[in-house]
Amino acid sequence: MPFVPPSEELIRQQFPRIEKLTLLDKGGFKAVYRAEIGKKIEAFKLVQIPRAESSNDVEAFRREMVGRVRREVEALGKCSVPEIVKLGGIKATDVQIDGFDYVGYSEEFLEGKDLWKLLTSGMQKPSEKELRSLFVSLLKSIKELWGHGYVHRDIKPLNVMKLESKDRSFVLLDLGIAYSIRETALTFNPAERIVATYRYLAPEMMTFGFRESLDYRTDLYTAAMTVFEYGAQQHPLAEDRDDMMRTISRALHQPSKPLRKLRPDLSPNFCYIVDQMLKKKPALRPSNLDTLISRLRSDS
Amino acid sequence: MKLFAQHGASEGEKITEAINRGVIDGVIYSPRDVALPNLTAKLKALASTSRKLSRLFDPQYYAIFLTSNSDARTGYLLEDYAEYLQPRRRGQLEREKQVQEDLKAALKFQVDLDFSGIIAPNILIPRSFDSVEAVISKNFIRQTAAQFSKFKDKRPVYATLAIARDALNDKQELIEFLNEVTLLDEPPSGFYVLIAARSSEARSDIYNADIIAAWMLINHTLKLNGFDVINGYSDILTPFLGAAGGGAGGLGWWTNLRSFSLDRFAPSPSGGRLPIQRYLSTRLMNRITYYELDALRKLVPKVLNGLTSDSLYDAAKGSEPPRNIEVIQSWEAVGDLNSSLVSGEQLQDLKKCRSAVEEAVETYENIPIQLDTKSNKDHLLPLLEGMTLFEKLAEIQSSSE
Repeated sequence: MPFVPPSEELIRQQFPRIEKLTLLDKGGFKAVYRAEIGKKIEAFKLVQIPRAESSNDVEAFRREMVGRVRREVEALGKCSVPEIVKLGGIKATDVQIDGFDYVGYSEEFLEGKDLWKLLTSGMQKPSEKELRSLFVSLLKSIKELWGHGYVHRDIKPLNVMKLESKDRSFVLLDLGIAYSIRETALTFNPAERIVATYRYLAPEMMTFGFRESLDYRTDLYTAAMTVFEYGAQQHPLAEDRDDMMRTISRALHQPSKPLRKLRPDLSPNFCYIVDQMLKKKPALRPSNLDTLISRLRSDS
Repeated sequence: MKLFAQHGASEGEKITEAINRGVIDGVIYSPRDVALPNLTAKLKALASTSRKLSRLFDPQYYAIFLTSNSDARTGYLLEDYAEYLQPRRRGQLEREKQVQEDLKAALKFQVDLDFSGIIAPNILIPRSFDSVEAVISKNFIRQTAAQFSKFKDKRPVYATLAIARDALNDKQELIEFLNEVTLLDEPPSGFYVLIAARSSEARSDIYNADIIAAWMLINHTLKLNGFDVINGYSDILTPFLGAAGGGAGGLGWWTNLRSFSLDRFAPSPSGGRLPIQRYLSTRLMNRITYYELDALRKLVPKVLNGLTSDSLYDAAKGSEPPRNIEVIQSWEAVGDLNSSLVSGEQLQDLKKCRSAVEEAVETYENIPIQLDTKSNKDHLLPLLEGMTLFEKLAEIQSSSE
């Protein structure tokens, strides 16, 4: 049954600090609102948790979902760089609305558009300066997350906001499937489920037992994919007509298109860094984040 | 790309002569072959010649499991270098504390002397990356920078990565190993890479497509991840490793200083004849005997390098060089290959290496005489195939396109 968010009035009864709510978006189990809390505007997220009693699988899924929300909030709480979205004033709270279980919490409200919206709106191709700024923002986010033992696992155009601010051009969102190298894995039945978005899966995520060796180079791959797709307005591997299996097969076996072929106006050095991050083997993706950030800032 | 003298027994005036001629960029000393007081004196002399010359020291810790054998040929190692090298059993090194202590001792030994960089000790990974030795080796690598940081020394520190050629056959294991060593919490400045043949005489052990590809991949991957790579005993492969990303290579005067093998330390029936002097032809990418050179210099003049050291092989004397400085010619020839094939532009360098091998194939085809088994062209096909395999493993554009 598709997820139908509860009425705004019922939500406000459970979260009385919220004065006004406007639905912005909804997914399989989650709704995102623009919320007025006191004098501040925040993004309020309401996640529906499946009923406990249905079956063992649903119970496991329920535990996973609760765990993911907790982890996302915990991870966001630890991060302090402006390149990652910050938590808002409402802490993660378990509530029951109309007989359903939910967790609600808030994040800062960001004025801007996600890169996917921009890509699908027929935008002009971004300049190299902007692409470098995007890449640096993503690398700084990855560095911050890894410093706390997290791999984002879902970096993609939809999860990156472009803001109008010069000091804060791009912000990474949605740590909903972040992986913690210091905690027990949350995914139930991991052998049969791909957790991340298949168009943005690093090849190593498709190997058996990948969790044992997962590290931030998986995020480097998806960050480069995001930069590539935003810059070239074309996915480096997937074709629109591809189904999931074809896309996964391309990610495993087909070399990515060279960025310079699609954007010959970009410098060879910049294209080289993006292309190198799209290598199938993690060891072939340069991993020294400080060096990468300074290269991206200096050779422009 | 830098070229170092791989130091060994009977040094004589070889290194001094090479420095005077400007054909090497530094020395990697071998403690097995030099008493500690002599080492100190040599270091001082080298440093006073030029501070630009690299002064490195291979602690040869990889020989540690042989040291309990009284017949092992450990030279000065156990007496003069006991400060950091004591016999150990594998079980002892499975304890992290022992690894830390041995690392600290070997690093301290070098920190106290005037080396330009410090090479950390490590054991050899003998057969497989899925082994206790590989775990111990990774532990040495992980701890290298952490232990070195305690000395607050500004010099670069290199972790030793010593791998037997047999361990390189499983590419998946190699890639997983590289995935691990390229992501260290405290990375060293670089790596000192050694690929061990089963015997220094076994040419085909190293001149094998799989081994060449793996060695190039190690250089490429480490360089991509910001590490400097010094290849020990890399001989004629030096420019190929340079094209892949390596920063330096080493070779010495004896056969066992041109190819790394633990058999140099193992008990051995002594004796044997002195090897015939050879000439390293850059065109053939191989050494031929001096009498083959003498026969070929008029028939196929391309085999001559046209370098200064050619004069050591005087046609008037049947092209026989003085034995004690034969290595000068090798150093100059490999240095020349490095200059002409390695510029830092990877794709171009790989193309130049491939063309150089193709030219060698052509030149061999024009040789009208039967060559000695070590002088023949058996190394060329593995070089070409090794490059192709490397490019595939490194996911880079083929240099043959």
